[in-house]
Amino acid sequence: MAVPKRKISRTRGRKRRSHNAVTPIKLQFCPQCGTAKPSHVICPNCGHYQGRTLVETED
Amino acid sequence: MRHRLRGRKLGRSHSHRKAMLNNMAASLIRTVRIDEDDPGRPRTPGRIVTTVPKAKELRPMVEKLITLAKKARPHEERAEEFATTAERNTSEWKSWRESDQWQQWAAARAPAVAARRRAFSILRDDEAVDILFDELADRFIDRPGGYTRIVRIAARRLGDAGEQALIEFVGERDRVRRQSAAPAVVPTSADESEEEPAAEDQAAADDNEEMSRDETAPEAESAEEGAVAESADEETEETKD
Ligand SMILES: [Zn+2]
Repeated sequence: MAVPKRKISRTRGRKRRSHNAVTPIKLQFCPQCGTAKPSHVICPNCGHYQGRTLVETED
Repeated sequence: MRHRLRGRKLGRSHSHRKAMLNNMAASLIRTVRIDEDDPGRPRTPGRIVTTVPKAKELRPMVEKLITLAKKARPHEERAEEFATTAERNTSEWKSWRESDQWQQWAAARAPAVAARRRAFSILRDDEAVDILFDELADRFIDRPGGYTRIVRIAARRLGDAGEQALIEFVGERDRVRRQSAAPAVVPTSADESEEEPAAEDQAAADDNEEMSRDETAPEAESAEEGAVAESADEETEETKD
């Protein structure tokens, strides 16, 4: 079985992972209720999207 | 190279994909007519929730079906003049059935029947075909395409965290367009309205001085107005940022 010849050093491993960072998604605020939500998405709280309510929420 | 490759495979074989999209089209069309007594009825008429790629594949399919139904409309209308109101299998109906009228009725209706059969070959559902030809074709008769909308939903699918979207027929819950010109000037809160008159007066005064120097009195007024409007525009632009 193929086995690594050398231990990967801390530096080398960390260098490899230097590009693996995940950027947080940019959230927008719903103009109707102010909930933070991803853009181009129906508001999960009030169902508002682009000037009208698309999904009726029960309350 | 992925040049000129259209469509998504959606992780399915051709037959699987075709069957799925046909079923989805039938499901979407059937939601238009809701049975109120059915406990498992769709919550909103004319809408299904699915994933974004599936919705995008479904859209052209459903829209082509509606176009097909719309094209059947004139033939159905032309057949109306040869139709009978008599009950089936009554003597009046039998005489109509044997007459030349029926021949003309059947001939005029033939393209519409063919369209219905084509739709059925895709949908495989009598109710969906009825809804398509009787309700949706009338509803979109004046609309040159674009019968459905796809809107993304924030909630991810359980299991694979797939991006969800709803696909629905347009005509209800449509976007209300605002007049873009008028509200642009409206947002003037209390603090800036205190500042504004001073700035405007200053601008107006400057303008008057210039105008009197140039001795173009009739134009002075309009120029002044222009200056005021300009300064107002600038202010609103600043506040926007
Ligand atoms: Zn909201």
